[in-house]
Amino acid sequence: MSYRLNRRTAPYLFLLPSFALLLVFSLIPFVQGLYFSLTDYPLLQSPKFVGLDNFARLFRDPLFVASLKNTLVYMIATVALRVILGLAVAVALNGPLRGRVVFRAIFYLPVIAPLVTVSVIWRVIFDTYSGVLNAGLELLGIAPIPWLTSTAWAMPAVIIMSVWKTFGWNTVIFLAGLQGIPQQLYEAAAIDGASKWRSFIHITLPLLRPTILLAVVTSTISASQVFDQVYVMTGGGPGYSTMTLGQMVYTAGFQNYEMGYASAVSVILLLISLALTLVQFKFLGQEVKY
Amino acid sequence: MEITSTRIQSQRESLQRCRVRFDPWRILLYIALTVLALITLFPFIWMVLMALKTPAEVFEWPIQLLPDNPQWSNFAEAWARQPFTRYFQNTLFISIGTTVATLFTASTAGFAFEKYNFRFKRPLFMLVLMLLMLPPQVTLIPTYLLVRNLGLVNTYLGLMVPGLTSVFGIFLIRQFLQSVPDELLDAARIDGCNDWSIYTLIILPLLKPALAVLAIFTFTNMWNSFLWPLIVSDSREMYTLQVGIAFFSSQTGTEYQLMMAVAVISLLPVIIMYVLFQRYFVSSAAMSGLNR
Repeated sequence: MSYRLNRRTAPYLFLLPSFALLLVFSLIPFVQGLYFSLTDYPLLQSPKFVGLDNFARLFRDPLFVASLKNTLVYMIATVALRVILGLAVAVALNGPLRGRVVFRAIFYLPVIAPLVTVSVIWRVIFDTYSGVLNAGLELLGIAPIPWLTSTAWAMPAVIIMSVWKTFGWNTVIFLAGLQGIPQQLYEAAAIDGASKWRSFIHITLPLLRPTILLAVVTSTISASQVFDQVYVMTGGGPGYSTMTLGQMVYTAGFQNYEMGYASAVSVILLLISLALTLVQFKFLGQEVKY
Repeated sequence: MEITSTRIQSQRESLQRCRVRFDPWRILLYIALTVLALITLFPFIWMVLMALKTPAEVFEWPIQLLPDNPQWSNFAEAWARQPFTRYFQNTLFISIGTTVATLFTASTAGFAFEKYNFRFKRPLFMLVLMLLMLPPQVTLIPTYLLVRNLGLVNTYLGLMVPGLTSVFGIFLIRQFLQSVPDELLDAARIDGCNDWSIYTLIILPLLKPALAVLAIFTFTNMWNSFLWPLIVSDSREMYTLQVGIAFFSSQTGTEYQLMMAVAVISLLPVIIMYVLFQRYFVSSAAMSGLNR
């Protein structure tokens, strides 16, 4: 008797620790966040419902408009570069290549390194007057670039650093995907006289489509939340030139103590993630056949 | 007829290709990969070189790659500038704490989802799936306010609390348990095991490889985390290493040799773990498709 009872309650008891935590620290905060976005809520006071005022204010706020634009630029550039570079490296490594394990380990190293620490390293590398990057460019006859101190170059600098930090992740994901493509297909194509390039276009790309889509969507979602490297390298500046949505949530909430307004920004971030996730579900539904 | 002959022809060609030792494409590929690998490693190499320079060498122009006289004392000097030992201990403590907690919470939940049938299983799982895609910034403010109201700002518990379970971990464990046959659990039941002893005596030992991946994933995530520790600790006593480094870097101005010395020390534990457990890192990446 007690055995039956035990077996019935057991799954709930096993779920309890995780679900209690998720409920208190994810689900309830999530719902609260949605509500706070509709309130005027200075820290230390109680939230006052103001409807959609925060969102109306957002689109009149030049800081938000700049943040949204910068975030989109950052997302598109970073994702395109890290996916293309990641794919190219994965294809290069996906063969009987001596040292491929070593190469893979090296390309993955930036991924596991703490983002703040490597941002500090890149701050030093990007320094206009003593930075090694400008020293290298000087050898090529290029005048020093004010990487982190000019509105034109700060965002490209953040993007370069982020691509360096993340493309190895895409490489590993793509390598896993490439392993799933039957080798016979390439052999057959080679026998039919197809070049390496044509095999890539007609075999690799179509069969890798689900992996590519997954990589693009997850990379985009993570790029939409960019924070650490901006905080450390530029603080959102100079001007608003590297201000992003993630950085704005922090500034509005924890420097200006406007919890309602900051929540509204975070809801915009949520909408971006949601849209991307829907895209992923829509297209991932179509399975590929070999 | 014609098709067969061209096939034979191209087969012969590819056979010949095997015999040719000197393949310019292969050499080019190696060169390209090596250059890219050097670029990837360069910031780390540069960090070490800068950490060993004198203040004058840091600003020398034209730049000098190697320090004339490696300044090993930079490490001690940088370390003493801030309570870095304390930051290091804080980070180690919360990283180990969240890892242990996550191993327990994620393995029990993953076990329940994979090996039991119960009411609301599907909706509960959908809920977990949904939480996976929440941007951290969305729950940041309410979670902060909650932790503040609970009086947990500047406490270890406050630092750890959002990381005590892991949605990714639940997925990982559940997926891993799919390969464990149900008959094994039935047999254990017949032998008189209750559900808790099935979990501790059968499931946990089987889960070892998955738990290793999850442990490494959780530990490095916590070690590297920044946004939450930044907002939940405003006293220096409770800074983590990453918060301390960001703070130090904004305070230090241009003493780059000291910044890089601290960076080296902060990276070391992660790199040592990476060298020792590389395959676990890589497999956690391949499975964390939903997490980055």
